[in-house]
Amino acid sequence: MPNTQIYTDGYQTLKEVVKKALAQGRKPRSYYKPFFELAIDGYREIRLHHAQEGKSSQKLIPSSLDVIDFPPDFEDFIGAYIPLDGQLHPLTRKDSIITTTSLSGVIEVLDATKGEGVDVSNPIGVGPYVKGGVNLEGYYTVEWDKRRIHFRNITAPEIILVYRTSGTMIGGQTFVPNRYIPFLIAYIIYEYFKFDDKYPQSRRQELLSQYQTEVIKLADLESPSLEEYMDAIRSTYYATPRRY
Amino acid sequence: MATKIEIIDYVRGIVDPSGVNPRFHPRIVESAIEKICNQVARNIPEELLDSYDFYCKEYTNQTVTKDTVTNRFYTLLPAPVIPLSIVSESVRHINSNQGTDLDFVPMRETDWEIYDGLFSDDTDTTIGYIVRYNRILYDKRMTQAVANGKVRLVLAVTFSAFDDEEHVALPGGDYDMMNAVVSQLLTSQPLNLKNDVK
Repeated sequence: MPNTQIYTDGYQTLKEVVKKALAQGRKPRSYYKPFFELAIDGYREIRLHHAQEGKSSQKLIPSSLDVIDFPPDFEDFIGAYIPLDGQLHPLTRKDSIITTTSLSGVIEVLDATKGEGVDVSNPIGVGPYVKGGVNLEGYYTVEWDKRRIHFRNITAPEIILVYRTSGTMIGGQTFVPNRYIPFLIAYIIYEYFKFDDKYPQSRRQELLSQYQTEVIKLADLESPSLEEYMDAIRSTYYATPRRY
Repeated sequence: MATKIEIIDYVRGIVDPSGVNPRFHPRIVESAIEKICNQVARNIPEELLDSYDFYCKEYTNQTVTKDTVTNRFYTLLPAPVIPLSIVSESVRHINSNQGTDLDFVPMRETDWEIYDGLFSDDTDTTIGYIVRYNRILYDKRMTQAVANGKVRLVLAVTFSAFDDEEHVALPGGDYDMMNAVVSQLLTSQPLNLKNDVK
């Protein structure tokens, strides 16, 4: 017999979360605006530090300057990859890459005589028992001030940039998975009162421990699955001659 | 619950059974009750403001107008309100005439300035409002479409805003309230009518 029960949605809007925080914290609606701002911060906090959610990937082609600008929704950098055998192959960060550019009139260009845009040398010894290895697929360095990433030695035409997004939508409803709601409420209430000297210190301490409890609960939810653990263990196994 | 005029008559019956003393004219008694009510309401802590809804008055079909100079929508208060511990909370609720489908929240004007340009300002559609003097001012999220629909207001109005025959609930408990009103009235100086003319 088919299951005809209808369950609640797995998501709620950020606005609904804020209303819940007001109700749970017994606060009047005039706290709505500061609570909403904190809800945005809290959701970003979850995506930056506590959950797998928040990872975005984009295929991007480096410009003539061998750079990729941060996408508009970029919050934090996770990694730069190229596709290899159906998986992401990570490029290696090398902060010694020269990130300056030169000007040709008003146009930004790379001047190879100044080391700009020049592939980094990766001496690999050839021969039996030679030690060492390098990432043959490429290198990058992040230029935070100009919000862009420089690439060198790239073998693939496109880079897959993996980065964090805030999760908050401009011009539309932001939907928050239900499993994050207790965390968000604890975060909002703790963050609002933690610098408020009028609030008793013991109460602030209590709010902090409630928030920390929610952090631990989230960590439980986000911990690796049994299959991932099993794969990690199996990867250490050695093939043995089959005995008949 | 008694009507407003019954409450006033009751107080006058205590302080001036003869009903002729101008010190206890109905307007003076009304004013005394109003002042005590305002003080009781003003003293309600912010976390208990929801409980004040019982004492409020509802006004439907209130017009939302756009001020052409400030480019801001506003509604004229249909009655004077009591400034509660959070002043904007004096306008307890705003919504469409028949529902709770719209989202309005009381704010401070300072919040408008602080949150201007922040993420919550860019992403949220909830309409904030402040109360100033004789009007409710809406923030930039108020739209012409919402304004066209008119609004329903629930206001923490003063005692004088009730009609004589309206039933009025007094905050703070009838007995305490009456005692406070009577005490206040009896401390007023009596007129010496006898020696008034020389």
